[in-house]
Amino acid sequence: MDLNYSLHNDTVKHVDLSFYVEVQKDNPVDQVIAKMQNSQRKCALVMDQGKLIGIFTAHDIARRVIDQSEVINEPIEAIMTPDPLTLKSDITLIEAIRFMSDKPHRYMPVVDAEGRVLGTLTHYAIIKYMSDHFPEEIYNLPPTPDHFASARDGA
Amino acid sequence: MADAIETLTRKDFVSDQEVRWCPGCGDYAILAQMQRVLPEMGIAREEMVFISGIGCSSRFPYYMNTYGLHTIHGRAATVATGLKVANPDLHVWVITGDGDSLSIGGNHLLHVLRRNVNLNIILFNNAIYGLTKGQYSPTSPPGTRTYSSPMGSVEQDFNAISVALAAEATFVARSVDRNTKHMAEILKRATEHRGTSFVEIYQNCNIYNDGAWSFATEANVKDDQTVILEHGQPIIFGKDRDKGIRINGLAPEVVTLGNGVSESDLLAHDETLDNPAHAYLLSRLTHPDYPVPLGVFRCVERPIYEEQIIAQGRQAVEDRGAGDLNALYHATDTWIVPEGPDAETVQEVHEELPTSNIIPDIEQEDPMAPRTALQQLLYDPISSLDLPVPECVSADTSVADAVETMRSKNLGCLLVVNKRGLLRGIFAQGDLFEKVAGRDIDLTKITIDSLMTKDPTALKTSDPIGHLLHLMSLHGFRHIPIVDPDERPVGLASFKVMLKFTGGLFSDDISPN
Ligand SMILES: Cc1ncc(C[n+]2csc(CCOP(=O)(O)OP(=O)(O)O)c2C)c(N)n1
Ligand code: SF4
Ligand SMILES: [Mg+2]
Repeated sequence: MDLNYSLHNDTVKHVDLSFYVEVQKDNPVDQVIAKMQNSQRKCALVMDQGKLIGIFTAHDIARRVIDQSEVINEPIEAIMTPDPLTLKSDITLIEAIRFMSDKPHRYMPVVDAEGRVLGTLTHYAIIKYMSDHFPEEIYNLPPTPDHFASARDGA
Repeated sequence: MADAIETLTRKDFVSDQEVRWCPGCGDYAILAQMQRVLPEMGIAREEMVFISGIGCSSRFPYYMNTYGLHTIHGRAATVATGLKVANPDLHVWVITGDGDSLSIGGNHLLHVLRRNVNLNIILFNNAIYGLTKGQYSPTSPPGTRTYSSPMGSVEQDFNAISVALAAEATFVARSVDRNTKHMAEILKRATEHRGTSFVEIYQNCNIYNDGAWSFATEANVKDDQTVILEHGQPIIFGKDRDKGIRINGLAPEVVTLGNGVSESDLLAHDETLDNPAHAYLLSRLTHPDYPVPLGVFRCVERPIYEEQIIAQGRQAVEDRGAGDLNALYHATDTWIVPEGPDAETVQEVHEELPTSNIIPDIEQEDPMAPRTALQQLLYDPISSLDLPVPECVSADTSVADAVETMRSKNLGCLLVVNKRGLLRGIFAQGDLFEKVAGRDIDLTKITIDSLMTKDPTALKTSDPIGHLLHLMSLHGFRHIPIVDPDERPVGLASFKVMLKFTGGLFSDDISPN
């Protein structure tokens, strides 16, 4: 499979968009963090009656929460990034890659034509998608690059 | 206060041995997943033992930085059984190949499964004898042409899953080398199971049997030709998830959903059934007539061999007192064999075997030829990436200061160096997220030493970019320090750097190739 072709023809829907959790706008910050930690997701989409109104990520935790213990009981709405940039589900991966590598965003919600959330595009998911094109060259590597032997064993 | 628990990382499981598998062999992918999963299992390294027989796959224990035994052809399960009975506290993995465990070791495999010794068997099935350079194996389908079956094998092949079920295995699963996420899940489940876990992994031998499992790995066909088993769920497959397996009498049939066929008509998977008939039926779904199941076929509980044996021994001692082995030897008829003629002196013969290089010559590349985008992505040195210069701090920096530095300089991570400037750790936003967030910790009172990842995986500027992708996609490392030969950080690779590089690499003019 030709990666160049796939990147230009597959859309963001074709990568794993599951690396996020959904929370409600009135959930307290500490609960949101616990939910993220328990599911090992570094991104939470903040919803209000089924609509996306904000985003909150591990990056925000490191910048705005970690040394500000007073915010921990506030509703997530108070500290989230409101009205996050979203990606339309029909944009190609190469477009998404170029868009995301110019922006500071590591997580971008993906929405369909009606604005419904389909998932979240992450840097990791794109890297994994690309690597899946070359299992032999990427997955079948020794643990460190200098581990290849000069001669193979034989019996 | 965050307890600074010594958690193991992937690196703790990487040994210093040169890996002697052919470049591109699927064994590498299995090794990578094992090294990824084990740190998460909460088992101390000194309690782990990898035991193998003979074959390419059986070289595995050398590459794991745990205890290991490279034993006798086909006898890994036997040695492992003995070890488990002698020391049931150990966590034991048997690493074996289709030749090792289904030809010469077939008998031993059956009995370890039947006994339900609490250990894990990972069978690397490449449907060939790899180490001996490409003879057909018990899992090669009839008609397979190899060096030892030049006109096509005339032997009925074994279905490893069916064999394991017939041998009363309590945990039976299958995965495939190229589905790294699935393999990780299955390896975890196998490790958690109490009793013998049997995992068959379809493994590509790219030298002697390349593409044997392509139906299960090629992106355009795998969804239609495999089915992922999920406990409690109807068996549905297909790219559009519109096909399923229905039972007609005793036979499975493939049906398309819709037109009067609904999910409730389909066979639902239940891995906990005591009767193995369901799992056996699933094991008979074979290519190309059916989608081939991947996942857990069977997972049931049964008493564990070594626990019962040890309990019996204890009971006997309690009832009758400790025994005397010497007395036992002499309890019945014994006699002394008269000494015979002097034993012949056996001369040891050391023969130097010629080391032949069997790896086909890799085509010499024309150094002047322009590099394709793919070659650049996979093989160009890391030095060709545009890498940011890392911010380096010492391990006694307080977490509060580190947080402030990351905030003011807008950084996702800091590298930790010693007095000589050599890389000793990495401290990232992820560490704050995992180990600090939501806990009541005074950040001015702790140093990053207690939170950082110590001795992180780093690469050199001369290493290929493909290796960055390997570490990122298999192990999820967002940041990878790049160091000079003395281990001084010179750059910081990240997901973002890779995306930027990729975005610039592929032009929008796509000519088919
Ligand atoms: C007693 C004995 N018989 C035969 C051999 C030759 N031999 C070495 S490896 C092997 C088969 C290996 O096949 P498999 O277990 O599938 O491992 P792979 O190399 O494919 O991973 C054989 C027959 C041997 N080493 N010892
Ligand atoms: S011969 Fe096949 S199985 Fe053995 S190391 Fe080479 S590719 Fe892997
Ligand atoms: Mg084999």
